[in-house]
Amino acid sequence: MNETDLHFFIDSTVNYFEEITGEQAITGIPYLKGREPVVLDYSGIIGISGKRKGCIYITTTKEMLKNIAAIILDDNEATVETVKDLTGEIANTISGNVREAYGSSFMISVPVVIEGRAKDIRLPEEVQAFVIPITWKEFKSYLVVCLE
Amino acid sequence: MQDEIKSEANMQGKVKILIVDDSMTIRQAIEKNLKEFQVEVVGTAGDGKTALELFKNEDPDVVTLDITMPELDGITVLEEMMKIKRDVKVMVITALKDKATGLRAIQLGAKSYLVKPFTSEKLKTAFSRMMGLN
Amino acid sequence: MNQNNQKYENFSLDGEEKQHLLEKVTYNILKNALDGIFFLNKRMEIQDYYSQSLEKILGIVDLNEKNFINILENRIPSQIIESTREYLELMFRPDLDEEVINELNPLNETEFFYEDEWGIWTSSKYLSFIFKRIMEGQEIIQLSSTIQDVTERALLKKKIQQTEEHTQKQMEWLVNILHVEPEMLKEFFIGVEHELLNIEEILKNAKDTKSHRELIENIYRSLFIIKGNASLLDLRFFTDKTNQFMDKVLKLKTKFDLCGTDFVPIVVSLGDMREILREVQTIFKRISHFHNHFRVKRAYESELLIHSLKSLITNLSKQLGKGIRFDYKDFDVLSIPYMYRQMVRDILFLLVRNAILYGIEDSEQRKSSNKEPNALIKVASMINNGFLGLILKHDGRVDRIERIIQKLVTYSPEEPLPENSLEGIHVTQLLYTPNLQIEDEREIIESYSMDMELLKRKLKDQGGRLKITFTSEDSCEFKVLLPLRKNGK
Repeated sequence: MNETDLHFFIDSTVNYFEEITGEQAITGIPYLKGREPVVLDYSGIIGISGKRKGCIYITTTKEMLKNIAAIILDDNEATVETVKDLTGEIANTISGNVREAYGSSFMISVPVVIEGRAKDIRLPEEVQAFVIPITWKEFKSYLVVCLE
Repeated sequence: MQDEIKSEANMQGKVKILIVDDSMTIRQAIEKNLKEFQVEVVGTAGDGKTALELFKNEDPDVVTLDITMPELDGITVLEEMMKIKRDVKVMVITALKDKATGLRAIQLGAKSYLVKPFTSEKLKTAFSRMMGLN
Repeated sequence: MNQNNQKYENFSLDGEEKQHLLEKVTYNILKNALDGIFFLNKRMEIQDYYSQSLEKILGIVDLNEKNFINILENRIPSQIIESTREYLELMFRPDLDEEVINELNPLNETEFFYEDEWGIWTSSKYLSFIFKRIMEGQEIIQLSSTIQDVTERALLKKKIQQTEEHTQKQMEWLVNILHVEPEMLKEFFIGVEHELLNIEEILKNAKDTKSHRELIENIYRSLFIIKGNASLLDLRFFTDKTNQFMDKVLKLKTKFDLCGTDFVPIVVSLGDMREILREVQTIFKRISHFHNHFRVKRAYESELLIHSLKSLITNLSKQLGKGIRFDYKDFDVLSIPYMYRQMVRDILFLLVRNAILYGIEDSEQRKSSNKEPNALIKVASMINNGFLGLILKHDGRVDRIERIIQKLVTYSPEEPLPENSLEGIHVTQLLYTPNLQIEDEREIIESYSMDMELLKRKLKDQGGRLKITFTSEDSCEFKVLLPLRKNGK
């Protein structure tokens, strides 16, 4: 992965929040993922195949998801199902948008959603993973990109 | 402007719409936003296989269609739908932002292409355009 | 072959049967040939008869009378199109040798892109276009062309090239590390790993945007240490990579209003360095069993210590514009017990560095003090009364430094270490600081204190002693005593 790759994902993420919520998300200082888990309440994982292989996932808090669901659906009482679903949808949108840069050889899977902080998400060992902290309103999330 | 759109839809009668997206949130969002147009949601599907079944059974006038889905992807579903009913109006709503996918969808017969993330306004504008309401 | 040629040349087209046969044969060839076959006239137009597979290969139908150059537009790189036009024009010139012109064929192997009706490229292949003249008497009437799909070959060639480049790179690394004693290399790797982890932690824990400056300084410091250690061991590839990384950090230093995305080059460079470290460690593991098997004598290992000290002195004095002679004739490397080898190295490195940075004057100052232009650093060793003694003496003397040093207490094992002592920091981490020329006295005191503290800590662990003396001959002497029995027992 190079700087341009990372910027594509960052831009895609920032754009998502801006479009959906009208409010900017701020990206923090990215870092390399070590052995420690980077997992919050819900994580949406997308597998990437084709010319580039790897995966990306977004992990975030229930509160943030509920906030976004409230904006999309005018519903302040989003259920667990909605919140889980939204996680996958966010991950799907971020990675799908990156295709604008990479083209159709950048193939994305359907999202897999993981609930709970207990589990770590196992990433390909031989590929470096970059963690991008994201702050939207007062909520913290992480975008983790692991791409050849 | 919105009132004009609504009254036009009324005059034309309710439009039968099938909403296809593997995200429940997106299906709900589309349904919520398009209700203003006096459409009748005849079904919602979270995967391509169910989408085709509903399409055959419910005979919708309009379909909103995601591409990245389990079972059958949206492009395959679109191809099949076009074989069944050539004049159905399909709006592809997808996160896949590359031009090739969009152009392929149009080539296969989709009438509109909307990229996620979308705002309510964008969805309504795209829908109005597709229906010839503005 | 000559007989066959003659047969074709004498072939008569008078008989209707023969004509039918010819047409049939031509048709079969054009229908079944896997290669793309076509003919160009002088206007570069594709003639009526071409192989069926040509349409498939080019992804275009109805090629009759289509201009070949126009077909290439938007399908091959634009600079090649112009060359192709020139080449084909030359091919039609009978005064020019065909073989010579063919050497200049720009379509010998080219990436050919396939587009859909909206002109979007959807895929590509590597195609080879070979052209030959068709003569009628002395006149060139057409060019025949054969197109082959050479994608597999081209991709394989690319892969081989990439593998070769990678192998060459690894060979360079191998050659670079072969001259380094394994223990020193291992220590170097540990040091680099430590610094890279440090940088990772800095990035991971950087929450407050106001402290970006400090963050950048800390990252730069770690890189400086890596670079210093790599220079000492003459690991050029590592030094170069670190330099590139440091340049990126330096760019941030000059930027105002930093945000998270400004650090993308930093984290990517960090990833690259990690990757290099991992690859070099893999190479090292592979060769280390050879090293162990053909292990060099201790004498050679010991010589490396002197060599490293010399490198340190040379590099630092060059950077600071100071002339320094190194006298080590009274330093018996072989007398140093194995258990103290690492420690002695650390201590000497620290003391030499301090001497050059803070003790020894530059040539102007030495001139005004009527000193010889080149300073002297002397190291010596001795064994006495159950102690290993190390002495480092230099003839630099800067008054303000002397005041600072006088503030420091001569350390003995019974003394407790001051509070907030540094924990677990290797000497080499303090060998290099970003600002070699520190003017501010407070910074000098801090820097010197850190070094002395570390030295004291190391000595405490071993039950050692340190004494600093300013002699009347206008020089400074450090004496370190280490018990030959562990912890002074």
